[in-house]
Amino acid sequence: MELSNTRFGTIEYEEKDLIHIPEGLVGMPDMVSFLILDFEEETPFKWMQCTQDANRGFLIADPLLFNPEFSLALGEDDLRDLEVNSPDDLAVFVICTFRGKWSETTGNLMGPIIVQVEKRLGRQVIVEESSFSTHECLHDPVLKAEAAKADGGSKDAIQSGTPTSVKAVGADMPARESIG
Amino acid sequence: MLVLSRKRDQSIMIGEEIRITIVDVRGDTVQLGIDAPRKIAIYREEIYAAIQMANEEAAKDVADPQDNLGRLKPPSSDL
Repeated sequence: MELSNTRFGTIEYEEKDLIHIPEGLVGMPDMVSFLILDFEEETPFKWMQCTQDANRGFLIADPLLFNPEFSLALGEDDLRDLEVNSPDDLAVFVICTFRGKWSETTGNLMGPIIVQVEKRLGRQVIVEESSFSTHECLHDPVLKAEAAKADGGSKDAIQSGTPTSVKAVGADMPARESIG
Repeated sequence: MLVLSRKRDQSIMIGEEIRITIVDVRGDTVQLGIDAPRKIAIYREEIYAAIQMANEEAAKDVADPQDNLGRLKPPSSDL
């Protein structure tokens, strides 16, 4: 199978590559199957391409990029519907919005996407009563500095990412690779 | 829109499976109790709307990419 759009050209895939989100995304009930793809260039982001509409897709990333305190309490229904037996069965992503500069990219921590990796079955869950927002800024100071460099290396942007926030993160840096 | 008046402890039924009860009324705050099958998702409207808006905003970037992420690798089974 293949799909193509002006952004990425033609993407070839097989049925087994798909992630199914039977209920669709919030407010987008028709978007039910996706490809989660890596970029050729090294980046903490991935691309979640909708296969119903070749022109729709999302930047996604590990929620810990935006908040190292991120955690998720799933309901019994989520665990049952997605056939989750252990946290290891799940991958968690957040949808990101690019805002003209990498360093200003935000993540929607109130609407994470959980995927049962083995079944390739997912759902966008709504985190109510949360201290997270739908537009959480990048937190990881190193990443933020890299992002600022990628934006064209404004010196101010790089510096603003590093000094004060390093302390808050401490030695325990959030995982920057994909989440298990 | 159907508008009904209810007093504290009174309920309305929506279909046969959903019951909404007025638990308490204080000033301009109404506390609702909702009995519904587990398969029915219940959200505060503003939270649902915020996530819907965030989804649309994130998807909108696709048409006019400025993010220069370049090319995608072919699908792999790893997530």
